[in-house]
Amino acid sequence: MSDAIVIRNLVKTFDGFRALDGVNLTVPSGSVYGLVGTNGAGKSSCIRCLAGIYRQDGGDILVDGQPVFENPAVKARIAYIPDDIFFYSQAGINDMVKVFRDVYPSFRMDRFTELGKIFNLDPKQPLRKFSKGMQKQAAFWLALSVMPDVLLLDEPMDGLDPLMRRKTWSVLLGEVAERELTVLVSSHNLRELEDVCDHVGILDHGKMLLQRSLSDLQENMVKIQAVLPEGTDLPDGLHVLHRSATGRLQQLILRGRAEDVERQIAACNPVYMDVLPLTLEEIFIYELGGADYEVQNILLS
Amino acid sequence: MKFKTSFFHKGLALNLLRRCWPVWLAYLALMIFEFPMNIYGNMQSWRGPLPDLADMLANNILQSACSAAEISFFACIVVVMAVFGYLYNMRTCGMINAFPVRRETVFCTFALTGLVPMLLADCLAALLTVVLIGNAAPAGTVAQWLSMAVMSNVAFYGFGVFCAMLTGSLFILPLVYLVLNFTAVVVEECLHALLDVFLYGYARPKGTISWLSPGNAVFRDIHVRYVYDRARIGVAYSIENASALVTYCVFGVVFLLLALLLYRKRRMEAAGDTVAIPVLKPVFKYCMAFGTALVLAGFVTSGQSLHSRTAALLACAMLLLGAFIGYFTAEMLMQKTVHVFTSRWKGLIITWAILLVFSAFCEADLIGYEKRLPSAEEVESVTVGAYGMSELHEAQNIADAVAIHGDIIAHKDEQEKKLDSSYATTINYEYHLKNGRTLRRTYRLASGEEERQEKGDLWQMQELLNRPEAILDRVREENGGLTPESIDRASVYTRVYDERTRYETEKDLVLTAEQARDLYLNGILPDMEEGRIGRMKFFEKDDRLSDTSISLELSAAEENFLGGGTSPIPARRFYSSYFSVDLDSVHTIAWLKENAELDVMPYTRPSYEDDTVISAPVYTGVG
Repeated sequence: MSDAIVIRNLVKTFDGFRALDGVNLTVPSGSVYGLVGTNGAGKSSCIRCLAGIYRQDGGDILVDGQPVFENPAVKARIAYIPDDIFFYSQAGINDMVKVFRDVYPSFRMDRFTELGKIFNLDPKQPLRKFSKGMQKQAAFWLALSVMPDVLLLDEPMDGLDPLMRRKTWSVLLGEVAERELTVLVSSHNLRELEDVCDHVGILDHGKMLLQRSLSDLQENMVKIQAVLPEGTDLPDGLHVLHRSATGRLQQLILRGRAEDVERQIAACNPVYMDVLPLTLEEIFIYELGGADYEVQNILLS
Repeated sequence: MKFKTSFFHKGLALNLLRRCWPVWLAYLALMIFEFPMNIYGNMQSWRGPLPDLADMLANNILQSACSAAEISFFACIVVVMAVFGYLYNMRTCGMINAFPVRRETVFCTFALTGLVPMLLADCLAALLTVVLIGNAAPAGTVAQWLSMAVMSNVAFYGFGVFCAMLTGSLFILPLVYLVLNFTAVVVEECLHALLDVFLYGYARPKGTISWLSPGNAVFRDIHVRYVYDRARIGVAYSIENASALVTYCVFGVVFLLLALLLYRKRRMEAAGDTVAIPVLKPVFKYCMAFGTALVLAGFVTSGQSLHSRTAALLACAMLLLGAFIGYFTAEMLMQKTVHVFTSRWKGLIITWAILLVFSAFCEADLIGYEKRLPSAEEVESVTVGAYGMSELHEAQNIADAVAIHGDIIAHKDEQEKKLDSSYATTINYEYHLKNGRTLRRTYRLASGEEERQEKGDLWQMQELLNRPEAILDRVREENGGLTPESIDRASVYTRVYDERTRYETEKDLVLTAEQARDLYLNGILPDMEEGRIGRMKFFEKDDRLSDTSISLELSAAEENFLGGGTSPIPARRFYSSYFSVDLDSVHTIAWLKENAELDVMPYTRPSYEDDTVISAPVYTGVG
């Protein structure tokens, strides 16, 4: 799998303040990358640099190996939905379609019509009369009609109701599966990205703290609930990241492959043993050592 | 996907037109109302002789051209705000810049889409005028209107777009545009006012930088000039300083190119910032500080009779106050908060220090400006005077002028003291030195009765200016080279007041051209050559010695006329030359007695407080 987006040592300053301080980020083609961070961590700045809006002060931003800034050929393949969407004050969706058709050569009317069935908005009504959630839907409708190869989403689900969130993600993931759309999505909430991302990066104070593929993380960590026979302790050689107990029921988070860990504990003849799913939060907390207060803040916010 | 490099994006242009069309429509409506409708209305309501219609239309069209330039000043910034308004909002800015279009293309598309409809509106208004008035107006005037409208649009639009690149705030943009359009002329005026306070004898330099203020040029310098003949021989119209618009138009294009360069480098995150270019932030802050200081000090001291140390202290205080206001206003605008007084005083203290050093430097006259006095040997000629200037070449006169100047410098403190309780007369010196340089000074001298009795500096100056060389040169200068041939006629006014009956009789004699020339050659000219008429009088008691005055009415072929006029007949200029007859104007008095049986009487002042004076004007002719 090739890398759709590569960011190397990205630096962006605002009046001397380094909002992005040497950020490195890699997003494979056809993946959904979640960029997580607290408010002010630099997520939006990073995405605006990636969309070619901001000129970076240092580093490289490449999409399919090509620099983005002032490169219309590359930008034509990128669609960007900002946190704070703008539409011309008098415009309806149909008016915005004219703008997008004029500007994006890849805009497809048939796809627009097709997506209209999902989003179910009145294309003639002025967008200013839409609720925030409806405007977000309109933005998705237009962006996906551009048939982008890379979709940049800045806090995309704010304002959408749960049903529409699910619908929208379903369409997006369909595009990812069908035509290898690469999605970079920012959020301040890791839980929101849990079910959709296959790569996650944590940005804090303009620096990338960590980025991992979820499969890598999940393969190497396991959560087990077990009741061991009285007087028996865990076998030696297990790398315990976290251990808590309620009565005799122990909850363990261990590093290692699930089958190996299960086998080792089974050797103790536990009274009860079950493997539980790990949340993304837990993975990151224990991956980062669990001691970093700042990171926990990011993850639990 | 292949992208060609293009400087125009049709889609963006159409989108802009779709959104902002009311702005251009309003401009078109304004142009049509101001030009074709206005001209056509005037033509329809014309009731004068038909041959004069062309002159009237020519005048109206050129007046309208000047108005078009003034409208353009406002219209252009409105269009710029509509077209480049997206730069000032992060949401719109983000959308436009996320589009797969190069910045050059975006800029050129928006800049052209903003300007071209305005130019088309100009063309449409001109075309409509031609359709409505046909060939009633002199050929070329409509083209002149069109060229002025187009040039002013290019000039102000280009400058407006340049201003748009300097700021990130839609609210600040028109202020920047307005201020920069008048900066040069305001700074120049305030600087002169300030130096006038600090430097005794300060004279404004002849050169001016006011041409750097296009707004000032359009509203003050560019206007219709016309010369008319009383006999209705013909009228010529042209636009004064129209060539300045060509220069501004060229600068407008240059500013557009500069704006393109700035746009390419623009940090889009500056949307909302007062100053969009980081390196200009300190420039803005200190320009605000020094500019406000200068304007406040200049405004407070301008036109006031302040020549004392108190005035200098007041100016200094205003400079410091102005710097404080300007500096922290700039900080507030840039920081977007009023809480700016807790820190950042260092820059203000440096500004204050510079202003104090400047004030002390000027007040102490460290460059020797106030004391600079040429020796008579250095001087080729000196032009000196008050409301009328005389150029003196005679060695004695030059030596005396230099000596009086030396006295004026020496009496600086006394003069400043006297000015607090006396009227003042402004005396100008301009030395033309033998080394080719010029030295100019201006003094305000007390002109009260005390000065007259003491035979002080102003009295000495009056004596110098009433010498024959000074009178002849002044009269020639004031009357555009008065010659006997230029005299068309004359009128002699006299007033006789009977103390006993309190009855006042006025006489107004009208002389023919021949009589007027005779009076000039045999009365006025010999008196001038002897210093007996055409005197300069600075003191009230010397003002009127008789109740008789002569007005010579002159005409001359108009010279230096700037072309573009509408009349095929060479224009002539008409003016009057006024002489007050003094009791020792012996040649003039004799001529009037002999040829008009008129006695020149001493000036008498009727007592208006006691009773009403009965006046009875009598108009007569001679011969």
